[in-house]
Amino acid sequence: MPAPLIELDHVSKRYPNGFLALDNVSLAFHAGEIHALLGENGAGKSTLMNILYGVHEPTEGGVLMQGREVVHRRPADAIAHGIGMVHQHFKLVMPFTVTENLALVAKGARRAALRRPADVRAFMEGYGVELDPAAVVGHLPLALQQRVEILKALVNDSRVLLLDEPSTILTPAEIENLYATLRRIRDRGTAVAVVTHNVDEVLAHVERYTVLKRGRTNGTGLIAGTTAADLVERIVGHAVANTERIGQPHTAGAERMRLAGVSLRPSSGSPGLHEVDLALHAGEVVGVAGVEGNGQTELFELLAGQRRPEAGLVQHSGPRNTVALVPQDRHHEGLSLDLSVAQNLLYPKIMRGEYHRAGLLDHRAIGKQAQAMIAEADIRTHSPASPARSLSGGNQQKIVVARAMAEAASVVVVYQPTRGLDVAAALAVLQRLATAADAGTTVVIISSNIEELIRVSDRIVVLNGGRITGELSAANASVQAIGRLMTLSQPTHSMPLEPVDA
Amino acid sequence: MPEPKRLIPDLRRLLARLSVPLSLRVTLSAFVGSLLLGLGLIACLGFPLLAAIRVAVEGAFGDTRAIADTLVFMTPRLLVALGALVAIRGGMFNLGGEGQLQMGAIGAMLPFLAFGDIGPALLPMAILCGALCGALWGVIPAVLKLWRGADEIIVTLLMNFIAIYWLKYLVQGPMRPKGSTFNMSAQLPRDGLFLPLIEGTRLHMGVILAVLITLGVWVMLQHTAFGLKLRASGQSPGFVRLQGESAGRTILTSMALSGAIGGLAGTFEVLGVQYRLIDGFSSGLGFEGLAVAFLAGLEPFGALVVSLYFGAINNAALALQSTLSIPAALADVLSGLPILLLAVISGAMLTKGRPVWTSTR
Repeated sequence: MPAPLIELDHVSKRYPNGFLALDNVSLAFHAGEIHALLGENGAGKSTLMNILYGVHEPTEGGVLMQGREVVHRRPADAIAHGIGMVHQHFKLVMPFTVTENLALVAKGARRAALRRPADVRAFMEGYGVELDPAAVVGHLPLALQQRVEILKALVNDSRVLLLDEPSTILTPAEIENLYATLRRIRDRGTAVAVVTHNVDEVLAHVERYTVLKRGRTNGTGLIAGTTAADLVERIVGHAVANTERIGQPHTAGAERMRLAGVSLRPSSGSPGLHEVDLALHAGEVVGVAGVEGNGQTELFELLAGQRRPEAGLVQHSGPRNTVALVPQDRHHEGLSLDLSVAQNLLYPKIMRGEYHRAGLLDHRAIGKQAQAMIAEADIRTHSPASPARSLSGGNQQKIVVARAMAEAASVVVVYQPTRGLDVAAALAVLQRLATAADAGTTVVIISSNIEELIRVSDRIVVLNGGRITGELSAANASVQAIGRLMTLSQPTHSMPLEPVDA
Repeated sequence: MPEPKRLIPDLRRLLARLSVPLSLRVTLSAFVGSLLLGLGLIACLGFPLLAAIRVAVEGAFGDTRAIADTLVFMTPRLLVALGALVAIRGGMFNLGGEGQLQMGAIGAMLPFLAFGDIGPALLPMAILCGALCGALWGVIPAVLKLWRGADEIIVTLLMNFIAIYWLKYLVQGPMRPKGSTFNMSAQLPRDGLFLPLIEGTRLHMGVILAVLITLGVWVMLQHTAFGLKLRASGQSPGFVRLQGESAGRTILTSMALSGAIGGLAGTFEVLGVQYRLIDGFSSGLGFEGLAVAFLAGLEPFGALVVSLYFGAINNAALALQSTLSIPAALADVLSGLPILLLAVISGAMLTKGRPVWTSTR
């Protein structure tokens, strides 16, 4: 095997807020290879890319190019070393033409060489891209704008091409075309690195993969001889070997809510939902497992009542069903960051007219009640009046969970409830959810953390490509069994579709 | 030419950037910097600097009469700023302060034109009518946004000009007294409407009301459930949506309130200063008020302080003109500079993440 073109040498990155995004990662990219970086959100993929591209500097370790250490303090340094990057959000001048966008970044002789439209066309055709050099970029479809971004990254004879989640905005056919282009680029001796969530895409199109999990490499190798189940297990599984059950197993009660043949059309970045049937009962914990982006967001929105299904029904069986939510995105949906901790905790009650005196907010009562909730949920904050922004991610999440619990709703839907939490905090949150089910609440946990789901759920349904591909009772659930269902494209009927009563 | 499709998001980002309150130190340096630049300008024009400072301070705060004038200059700027900040705190970029002010001025005239001089009842009717006309000018963009998704930045901005020309039309046509050649309405009955509070000054009751409204807006924002919802909607629309609350009602209420307060700025100008509707009475008060709101970090009491400064600058400029013949346009320069400096500082912080002078490198 030839020497790698670019390497990360024992790189760690700690952000100013203390978060360790990369933990002693060593990784090599070879010329003429497409290398996929897989992992959940927050696993460190973007940080890794940004270190290669000089956006961030590593806290420890360094970057080697052809065996020699290089220091990229800013993207200009990386570009000078022949590294090009395609960001998730395009950095294009929309009113400019394709030629103008390329000329903006081209240096010296390259710019002169791109003067005539025929030259630009020839440059593009070298990579198998057919585009009108005079087309205004803002008028092009997203997939072609992305192609311009790729050409921009290559215009200064780049030998390393980094792409941050290029496929999330594309349809399946466009993904095929993207990789056709990337193969042309690879064949010219460029090292291509692609960040993605999509296991199928990796299996179909790349040569080598690396899985990142919580800032560490969790497996790397050639795609040949790898299976989907293997990749999925590396992405989601085997971090903690703790299998101890959280809370008591529950016996499901009466039906509360039912999704009957629910479908949503796929769109860019969303697989949609396909004839999802799911019954939710009183006093049970239902886990929804799956690799991120397989319909979890859509399912959450349906259960939350934020979206209506395009086909099928969402039925409430109880006359007074109320749904409390813990959204995935705590910064934009879970919290209003500039409001105080107390106001965030009691927001729904305040809006219903509680905690008022003489028509105005009773700040004293709000503070007192918030203090009690802060103590109960073990939220570490300077004071109830501190803005939610000032708390750590784990403590922010505890606010969101505490608020949902305080609603005493009949159904609680939580989405990635323990992301960013340390082990003890995660356990506390899950225990709280289990206790709520003891009291008769229906708890739905949507998560990509399989071990956690196995430990707390009474039954687990698995989503893949917007379909429920199977269901397992807590007794039958194992990381391997769930991992297998996570890669199935059709439901198997060998699995029990109704909860197995203990 | 920038494409309109990109222009609006860019404009929205810029305004959102200006809405982030900056530290007191940064704001103060914008003001001090603008004052120094203004003084530099006076020196460059060849005027005696120390005499100018003395005249300016005495002109703005020298005696009761000067202070009263400063407060009268402050009032419309304060009210427009309060109106703007109510909307912007709720996430609606209401740039229509000028139009709402013009409509408030028109509204103040309507009861008198409809009923004639009917005594003391006219005053509350005029105030109410002015507020309602302003509110109407605030609600229309809100309705267009909810109904058709029209961007409120553009709609409020352009509706300013509709109001300005509407007022022009009224004073040149329907409201102009027969035989008059001036572009103004007939004078309101002086008795029964605003009376100067302090003998021999122009101080009117609108000044007191504006300060009370400042207090009211602060109470609303900090001590009511509606204020809480408004702030949450502005900062985190996703959060409010997930709580299952209708964004529409918040948008309508906040824009009505915002327009009403902005309208009162015009109402008080008519009832307390001009006593009639005059073309061009505002000379951009609405836009100045908007600058006040941003300079005040969208805080009501901050707006009180900043508008007082703006009032003093405008008053001092008059004194400088009459005593030292320094062009009164200096006031425009001095009120424009702080917002310009603040925008520059915001831009610097945007690119570097911190003001350049606190750079650690």
